[in-house]
Amino acid sequence: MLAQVFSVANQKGGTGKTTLSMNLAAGLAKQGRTLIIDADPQGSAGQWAGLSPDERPFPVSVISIASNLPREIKRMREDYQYLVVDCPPTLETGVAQSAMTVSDKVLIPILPSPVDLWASVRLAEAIEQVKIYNDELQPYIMVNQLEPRNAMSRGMRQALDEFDIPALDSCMRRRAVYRSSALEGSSVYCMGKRGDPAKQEIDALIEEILKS
Amino acid sequence: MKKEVGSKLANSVRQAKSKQPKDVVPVTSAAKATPSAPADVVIEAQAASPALSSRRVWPD
Repeated sequence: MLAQVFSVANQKGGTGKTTLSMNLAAGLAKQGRTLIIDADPQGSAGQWAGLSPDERPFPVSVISIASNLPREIKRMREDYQYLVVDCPPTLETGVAQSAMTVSDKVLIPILPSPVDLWASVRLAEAIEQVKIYNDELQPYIMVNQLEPRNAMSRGMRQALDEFDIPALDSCMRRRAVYRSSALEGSSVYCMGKRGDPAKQEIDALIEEILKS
Repeated sequence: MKKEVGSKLANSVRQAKSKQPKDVVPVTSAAKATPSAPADVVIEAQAASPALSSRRVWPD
């Protein structure tokens, strides 16, 4: 059976693409063989995994692909159950779009801020164009760094209704443990009790995207 | 308050959509011409980046 391919994309930087990619992959790895494809020249996913201690390596391998991303993804689909592609924060190179042409789902992390919402309008346009080549692509917006008591966060749902792309019910709250896990080259699944709430969020996210 | 902020956000998104140029997102001409092989276009774009050398694998 071919792997399910999840691209994580947003042309705006700092929205949590790598944080989502790493933790999503760590969660998926509990269910099946998973690989992270670092398609971002910044190499953040590789750096993240590289910080893990030898005695406790990151649970998912990370490879960086420099050329012919669609071909490589298609080839790797045969060897894995899940592929997670961490896309670069730009649409200008066409790398994110090329990843999406061979993905089943694209997850778009958005911060609860007007600027992030506006930037995502452009991404939505790009996805529409990708769908010409991959009409089965399922895009989903996921709110990252949600703060339930913050008015902006609470207003997000109404704003997201303006998009043609559905928003996931699951979200990632603003939690220090996500940043800590990066520093330790780990995932929220290996952060002990303090990682539990984040772990539940990622588990819920995985359940939702696998069902959708 | 929630409704007010939500409405403002929603209005701002509507405005952003209305101001969005339709051709702003680059879809390479080759990709348009050959829908079955958009990969080739990307190879060139990626190979041109000096930041990307060859495949790096973690862990080894």
